[in-house]
Amino acid sequence: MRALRKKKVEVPIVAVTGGKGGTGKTTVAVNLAAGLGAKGLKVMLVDTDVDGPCCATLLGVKLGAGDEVKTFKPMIDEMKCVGCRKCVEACHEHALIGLQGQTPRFFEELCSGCKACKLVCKHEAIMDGWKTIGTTYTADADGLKLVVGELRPTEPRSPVMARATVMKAIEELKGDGYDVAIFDTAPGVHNAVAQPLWVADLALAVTEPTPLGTHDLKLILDLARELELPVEVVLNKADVPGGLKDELLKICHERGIKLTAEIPLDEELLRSYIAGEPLVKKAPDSPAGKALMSLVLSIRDKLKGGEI
Amino acid sequence: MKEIVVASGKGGTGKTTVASSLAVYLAKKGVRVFTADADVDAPDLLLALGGGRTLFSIDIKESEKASIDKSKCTACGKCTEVCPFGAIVAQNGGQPIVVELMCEGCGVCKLVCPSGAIEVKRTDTGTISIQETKYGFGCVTGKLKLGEHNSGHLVASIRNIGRGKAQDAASDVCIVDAAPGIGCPVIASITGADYVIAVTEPTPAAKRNLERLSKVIKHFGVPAGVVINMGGYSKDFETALKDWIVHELGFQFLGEIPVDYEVVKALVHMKPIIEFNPDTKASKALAAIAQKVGEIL
Amino acid sequence: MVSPMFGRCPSFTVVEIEGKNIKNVKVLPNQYVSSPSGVGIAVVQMLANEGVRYILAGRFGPNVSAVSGQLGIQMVMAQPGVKIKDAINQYIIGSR
Repeated sequence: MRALRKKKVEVPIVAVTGGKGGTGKTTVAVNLAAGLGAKGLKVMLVDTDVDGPCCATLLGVKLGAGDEVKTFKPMIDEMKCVGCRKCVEACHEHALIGLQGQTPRFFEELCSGCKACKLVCKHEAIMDGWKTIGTTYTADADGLKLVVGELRPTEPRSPVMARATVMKAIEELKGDGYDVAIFDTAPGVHNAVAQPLWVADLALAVTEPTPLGTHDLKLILDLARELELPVEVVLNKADVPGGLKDELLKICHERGIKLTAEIPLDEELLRSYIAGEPLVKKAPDSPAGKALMSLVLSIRDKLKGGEI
Repeated sequence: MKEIVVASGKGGTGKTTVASSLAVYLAKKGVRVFTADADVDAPDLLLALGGGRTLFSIDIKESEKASIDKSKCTACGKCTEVCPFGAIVAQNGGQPIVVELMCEGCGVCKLVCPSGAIEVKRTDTGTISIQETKYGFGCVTGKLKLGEHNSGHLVASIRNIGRGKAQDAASDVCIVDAAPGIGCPVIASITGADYVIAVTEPTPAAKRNLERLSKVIKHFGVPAGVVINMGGYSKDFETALKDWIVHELGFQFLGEIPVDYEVVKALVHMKPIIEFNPDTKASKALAAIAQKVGEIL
Repeated sequence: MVSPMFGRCPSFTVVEIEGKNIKNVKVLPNQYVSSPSGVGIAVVQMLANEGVRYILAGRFGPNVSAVSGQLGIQMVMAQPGVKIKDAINQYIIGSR
């Protein structure tokens, strides 16, 4: 699997992921990027959580107009359509509806842009149309390059947009001498998460010492194993009283995976969220700030040593 | 038997916190309760209730994945080019392989293959099981195979089983933890419900999500009430939000739950907060909300 | 009995109405019951192909409402739990 995941760019890519939502992935991604930037590295931060991207919010960056990401949608030429319904049958999203002998009607919201309809049409009645599924934004934030992908609210599916965001970031990474790229993924263990993980060199699995946290950690570790992607664990909200830290350590130990950072509960995190300034810059000496800084240094050393 | 669906526009707002505490509160008041977790991507209702004993389980095989017949494949690479998800990957100079993790079963690869080497096959999606909880009521929950995701069908199946079992047990109410977001799983979560409790947070993103959810709720004409969770940080926004909920959305305001670290502790101990620490502020808020819901029904 | 849900109900009873009389009753099983998603639409499409003009159902989703209009089918809300024959007769009486 590792061989299949061919590198598209020379820049090392660290993906911050974790399975369960709300564990603090974006907090870790943003602080890791900001911290590495402060240490003199040229960093790109990519937000692939297209359903609800938050990196810009945590950095206090206002995004501009952005570029629309478009996918194919069919435009049916009524003059050429004979009403054979082959396209209706081929569409696995049921986005084309029609009766025999009639030109099918198209439901844009359901279309995934796969082009199956165009491929089966023997009468050249389907032409290329475009629909916008989302927007990508780029911004410069305090020495960092920020790339964000956002799914259009009317679009139900995120994998294609997540993929488009990843591809845009890869393009931006070519040339320009970046030292590292940090990819923030969506929560979960499905296709939209697989897209950024596919191009990564290292994954940081952010978890919390709760039952769902440990449950989802196992899933994300399984996923990393399936992709043959090196992974380390970051434990957020580490000092929750009575937390399942022991169980988490056991899981890591059993799989030979390193627990690379422990971030304690810290009100400063909430303040930095509200202020739109990464904790490593705003309060680096706070308990969580120190923990995040040690993660930054650990990743920096790995990069220096060519380990990523 | 009434079906109460606890929903939210995005995950992580506290559906399960509300659903688990509501179920236990009502059960303690002598209401015959049943529960179902339709949020199969994050099946935490059973965890919040302290786990259960499996009574019964069924395998679901509804996923579709492309499969390449190596004996027919000529390694022309057309499938690799057209896959919208990058799920077909070329091996060095050799035949391409399907990465099931990223395949959505759209079948475009099958259409372009010149040698008819590709088929789209049904594969395992996961299992649905009926569990008996510590509180004397049942819970229907699902577990997905790695890489799979929730669907309208899974949600409908869980609700159907939940409804059936609840009726068998002569339950008064079935509490359903809904799938978050938009799309088929949410539509399947809301349809046919007797009442929806929408859980939100006092943030602009959550408000937008609530607005989207409200459209689905109104489509079905189901009465609904809103709970604002994790409040207490921005009074002005919260007041405006409450106003908007009642006057613009026309939903009932059921109550507000303040930020309370005891909730996290309760989760760690796998108990609903109302059971773990009934005197903490979150529990008191939840008790008041549960009381209101009880009166509504 | 009328199902509370439309897309994943077990079967469809298709009838022809002449004047006030029910003629030609046909029951079709729902082949889309276990489709992961997009069921409502697939079902409306299938019924449209059968020449159906009115659908009586307990509740139907937003996708179904959007599609049925386009195919010239009218959705009519019926009371779930009621016997099918009664629901149809109620409709006949109501629409005259």
